[in-house]
Amino acid sequence: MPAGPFAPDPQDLRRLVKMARLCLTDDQSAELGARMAVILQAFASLQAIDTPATHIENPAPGKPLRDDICGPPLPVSVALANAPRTAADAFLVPRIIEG
Amino acid sequence: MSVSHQLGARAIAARVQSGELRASDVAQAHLQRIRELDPQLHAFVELWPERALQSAAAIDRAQRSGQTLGPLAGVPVAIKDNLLCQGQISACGSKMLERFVSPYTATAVARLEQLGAILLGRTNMDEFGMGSSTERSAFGPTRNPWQMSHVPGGSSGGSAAAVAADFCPLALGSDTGGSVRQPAAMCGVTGLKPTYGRVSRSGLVAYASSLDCVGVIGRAIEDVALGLQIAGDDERDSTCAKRTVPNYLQELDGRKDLRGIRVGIVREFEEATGDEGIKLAVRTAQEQLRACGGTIVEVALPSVKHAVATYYLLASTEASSNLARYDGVRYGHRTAHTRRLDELYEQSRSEGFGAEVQLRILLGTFALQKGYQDQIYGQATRVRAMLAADFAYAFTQCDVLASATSPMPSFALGSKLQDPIAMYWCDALTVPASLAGLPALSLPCGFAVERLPAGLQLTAPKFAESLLLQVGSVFQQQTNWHLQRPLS
Repeated sequence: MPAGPFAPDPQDLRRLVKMARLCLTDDQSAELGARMAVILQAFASLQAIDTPATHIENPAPGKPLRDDICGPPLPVSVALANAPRTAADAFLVPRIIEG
Repeated sequence: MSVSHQLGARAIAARVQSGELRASDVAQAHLQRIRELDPQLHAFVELWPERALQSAAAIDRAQRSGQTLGPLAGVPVAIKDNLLCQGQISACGSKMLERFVSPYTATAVARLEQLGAILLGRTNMDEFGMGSSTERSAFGPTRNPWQMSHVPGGSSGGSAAAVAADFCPLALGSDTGGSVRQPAAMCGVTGLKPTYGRVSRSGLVAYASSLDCVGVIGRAIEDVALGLQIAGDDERDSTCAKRTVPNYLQELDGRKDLRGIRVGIVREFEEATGDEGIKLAVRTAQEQLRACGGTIVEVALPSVKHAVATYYLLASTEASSNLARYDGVRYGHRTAHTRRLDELYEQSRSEGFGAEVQLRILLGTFALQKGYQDQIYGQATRVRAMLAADFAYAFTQCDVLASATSPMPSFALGSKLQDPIAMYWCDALTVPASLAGLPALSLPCGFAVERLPAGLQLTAPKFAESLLLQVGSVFQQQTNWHLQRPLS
């Protein structure tokens, strides 16, 4: 991990925050950005390791996914029980189409 | 009837089975102790007295009617706050889930109940498992029962502190990079991270799915062996191994010494153990393993020096993906201040997640962004494979590895919160086994200084939990560190 280009500048950070679906104040961004820079700098040595022929092991070897068989669905009332807002049998969110 | 809070799980179950003790009295006594002492410690986030007493009464009725009771009959158990228990809140130490009511029960928890255990409540943790001190909980920190000004380790600090304080003889935690073993070491109790896939992850709230394991914390090895009977295949977790589950307790009872066992000492682990008190306690413990008949061999794990960086990059990338589900729509915290959908996602997440969780989401997002995936995530994955190969080679030369669990003893509350690298370094000796998917056990092995326990970590090849427990049992037959208690 090269130190220079990998340390996110304020513009990179704004883009990352957006991609991560977060919303930070300038102070929070500055603090988290500084911490990220320290961490990425400390972890930069990983990039220097020669790993050309490394075999990547399957974490669950020989374990196929189970058969894709329909089972009883989660009852609607259970699926909605933890929703912050609901209407009828649906999750309620702000209007996304104006008008 | 008077019940000693110092009874272990095996002893409680035997007495409840025989009718010598009532499960209701056991539950009542432990709840009473928690109410008296936990206000200072904050090991529990919530107690479930009604549920516990109802379960205990059912055990007592079954005993009176002559039914065969499970091996954990009447044993009070605590559950980490990231394991689902139907009808109860599972908050993961986060404001995001502080009102989340579990729609079903985690397989590990359900199996505990099938074995006869009584669930006392949920224990405190670092938010979503992201921390090594239990200071990163939205509900406030837990304190170490040995030294109230110090942390209990993390992220399963609540479970480890609860066992150390004799609030319960057994607790479940989760271990992604050391979150069972490191707090077990810092609280002077015994903690096991099983092989990845040995215990079902169904109902364990995901942090880093290729690393997450449900683990067991107890005072003595025999109690941990009993608790591990929750292992076994589960159709709700496709990474769960289809392998027979031995009777761990029975396998434990056979071994009295370590003749024929090769104990590996890892040079790189010794170099990474900075604290002199921990070093001394671990060297003494290694000598005790030799005195028990074990053969000491020196082995090398050259890639282990990259383990902390590898772990934090991989765990953060997986976390950024797993935690994308918290958007304020289907469950979890929703902001009250928005009129647009994209703002709802962003503000709900920023209000619901703490600073460390947001940092790791950003790190993970950074590592997965276009152009960097192979350079960061891909490279970390390849280094992980190298590390697993190092372990595989080491296990051609030895049967178990013996090292410190944590390179340092417990530290003062607040002392590492501003330095992420110092905090991450607490996991230097536990993340290697996590990355390789290996089982590892932490045993109390003395004190670094007065009232700050040291932990001995034993690591074994995949699915060799019986061997780990046997070696641990022989060690505990020869030592009394696991019997020492911080509170009367």
